[in-house]
Amino acid sequence: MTAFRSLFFRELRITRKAHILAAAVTLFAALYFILAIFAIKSMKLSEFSSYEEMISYRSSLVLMSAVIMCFLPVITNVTDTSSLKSDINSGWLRYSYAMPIEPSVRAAVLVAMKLVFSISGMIFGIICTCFYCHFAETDFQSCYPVIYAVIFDISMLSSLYFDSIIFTARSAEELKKKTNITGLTLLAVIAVPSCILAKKVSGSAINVNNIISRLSKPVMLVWLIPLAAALSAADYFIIRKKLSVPYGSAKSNKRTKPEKKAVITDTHDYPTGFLYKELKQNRLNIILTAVLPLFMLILNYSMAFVMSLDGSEGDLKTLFMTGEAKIFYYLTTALGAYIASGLITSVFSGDDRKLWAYFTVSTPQSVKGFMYYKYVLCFALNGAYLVGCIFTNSIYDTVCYAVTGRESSDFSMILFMIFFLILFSCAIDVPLMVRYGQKKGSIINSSLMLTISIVIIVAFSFLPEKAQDRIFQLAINLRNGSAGEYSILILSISLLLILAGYALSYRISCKIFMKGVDGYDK
Amino acid sequence: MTNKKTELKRLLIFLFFAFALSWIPAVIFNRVFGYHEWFETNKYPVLFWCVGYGPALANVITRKLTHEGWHDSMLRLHLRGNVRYYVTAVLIVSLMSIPCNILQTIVYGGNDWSDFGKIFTPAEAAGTILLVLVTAPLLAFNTFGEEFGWRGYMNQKMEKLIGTTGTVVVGGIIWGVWHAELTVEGHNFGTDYKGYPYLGILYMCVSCIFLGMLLMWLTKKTGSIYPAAIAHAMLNNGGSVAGTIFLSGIGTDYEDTIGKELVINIPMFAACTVFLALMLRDKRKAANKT
Repeated sequence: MTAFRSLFFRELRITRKAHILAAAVTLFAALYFILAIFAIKSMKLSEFSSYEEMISYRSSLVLMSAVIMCFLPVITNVTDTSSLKSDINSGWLRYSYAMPIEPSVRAAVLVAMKLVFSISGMIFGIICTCFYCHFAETDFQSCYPVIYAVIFDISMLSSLYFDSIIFTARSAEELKKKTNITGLTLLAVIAVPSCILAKKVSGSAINVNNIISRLSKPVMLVWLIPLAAALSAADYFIIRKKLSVPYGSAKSNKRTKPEKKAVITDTHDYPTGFLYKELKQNRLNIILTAVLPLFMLILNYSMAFVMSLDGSEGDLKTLFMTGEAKIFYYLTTALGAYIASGLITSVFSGDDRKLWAYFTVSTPQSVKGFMYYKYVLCFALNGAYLVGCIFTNSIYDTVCYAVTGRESSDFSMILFMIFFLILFSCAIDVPLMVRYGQKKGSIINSSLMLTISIVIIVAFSFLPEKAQDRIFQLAINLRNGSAGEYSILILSISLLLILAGYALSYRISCKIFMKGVDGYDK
Repeated sequence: MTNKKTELKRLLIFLFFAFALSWIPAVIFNRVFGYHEWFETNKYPVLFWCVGYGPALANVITRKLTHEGWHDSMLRLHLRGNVRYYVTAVLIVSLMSIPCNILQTIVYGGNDWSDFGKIFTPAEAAGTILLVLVTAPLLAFNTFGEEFGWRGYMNQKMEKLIGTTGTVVVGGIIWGVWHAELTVEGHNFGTDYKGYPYLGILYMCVSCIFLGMLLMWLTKKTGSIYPAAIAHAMLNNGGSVAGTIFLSGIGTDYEDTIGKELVINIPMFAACTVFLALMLRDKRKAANKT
């Protein structure tokens, strides 16, 4: 028991940052839903076709909030690897095998941590749901506890797979690789059946009332709760087995093959110096950024395919023709842009080291040359992403016409806007990363962007309806190229300013480079 | 040091693939879908990539087949010290369009300046021109497929065989003839003009000769194909909108013919000839140094 208490306290100390972050994200989600319910509540009855429709909207929002408020704390706790990462990096994991600590105690502590924080998060979620129901003036449905139990069980099931892989890692690189692989696999494995399940539960279309009525059976808790206990026990046994050996699988002990070195005899125009370093270091980034739009297109088609699984050809055509299909395509494009932005700025990862910084300054090209190639690479990656997007958009439009017989409208203006938005984001992100390092810089940037987004969204929701309509109409006109004379001028000047801002960002980064070096790791 | 025979062989292999990889799909698409359907609408946009990137693919295949390597691929930006050439690539088409449209107003508009500045309001003009200048260069990936082939390979090989002027003339004719499969279907000039399609192909060759001077100059000055791709993109995507401000006196019954186009573009041809002169001057200077 003493060992259990000591290890539990140790785990709490190590993972406190991760738990604080998870709590902050959950709180932010709670606040977001309060605002959303407030916005829906302030809509008048005349804006809906009937009273039942108004209640249905509110119920849908409360149901969505219930799902997310349960999902967030559970999944962040269940898939948290910060403790294992810290143990591997500090060497404690290997050292601990020389200490009298049983793997059963270790496993018990890890499972207990998961259960404590997941259940705490779920209790907070249930309290929030009760509050939302009261605030939205809807009934607390009996399906909510069932949904919570289902989500918890699915998360624990995912955790079995997740833990069986990552707890075999015995080095930081191995852990990172295994985390990525399991994360992607889980995403694919959960996303597809979830869509099929949602469609089956609700019937021909995703209908909230159908979902609520089918899940409003508290008797399901009779087997869901024991299932949760059984899954927790299974997780304990898996972690115990994986932690019982000090070394991972035989594969992790294999020597990696030496990298093939290309012998370049003619170096006439081959890249050298910082350019060679950037291209070599970021070759995976370059490839991923260029093919990312294709992945998003495949994701889009996969979702369309899953949604049409009831086999009717008419459904496939409808899925390409409806507004929902277009909205989903736009959402995947936006998601791709977000991921691309992260990939582009990750060219700075690994360079926030004092040793490297001092070496850079000592070279003839110095900081200016180093930053120049970084900025050029970011611009080129952004360009590669744009080209990828236009190519995949051309595939999408061709397929759309082939299936529906209707010509799609030109989407390239939106893609150009995304290009400039990513450029703008880089122009702000890069100086922050140079000054504060990649981690801190990203946090500062994310906080800044989040704050600005929330302020804009809240301000927008408080605008009168006429003003909101005018803004939407202006965006539509800009997209269609039929905006007023000054709108086009303002748009073009904004784009020019973004380009100028990118160049200015380069100069700022050069100036503040040495200031940031003092804060870097050794 | 490779000899002329090898260079000629490589050039012929490149030309074979450049035409085959572009013309075969173009012929199939024109027969199956119709030129207007696949090229001028947004129904089959992916098909453009098959045709437009023929020369670029030919470059890659030729280098692989002849084991030439990539040392002179001109794929590097060479931005440092060459920013003025990149800016020239963005602005030159707009600047050249101004005297062309002034000439059009004088010759075919009856020198009637009463409509001057009335097509666009000042804000519209400024906004449209700026928007084109900022966004059209991003479409350089469309023209990269051609420039990586013509300027990135063909011109380099040809210049060693027939010199700069020969490259510009012969290269321009080849480039113009490469467009023939589309010109025949109505690309740029339609199908109801006198002398169709031979006059259209001929005019295309003439235009390509002169434009080739500008694009080759940009490529040689920077050692990179991107400025040429940007200038080509400006040409294809509204770079000449700046000149339309100077259009006046052109009635609704104005019929655009190839002859008129030839006259209107005289200033552009003259400007392009200056670039040829600059290339020849630089070549003489380099020869004198050695």
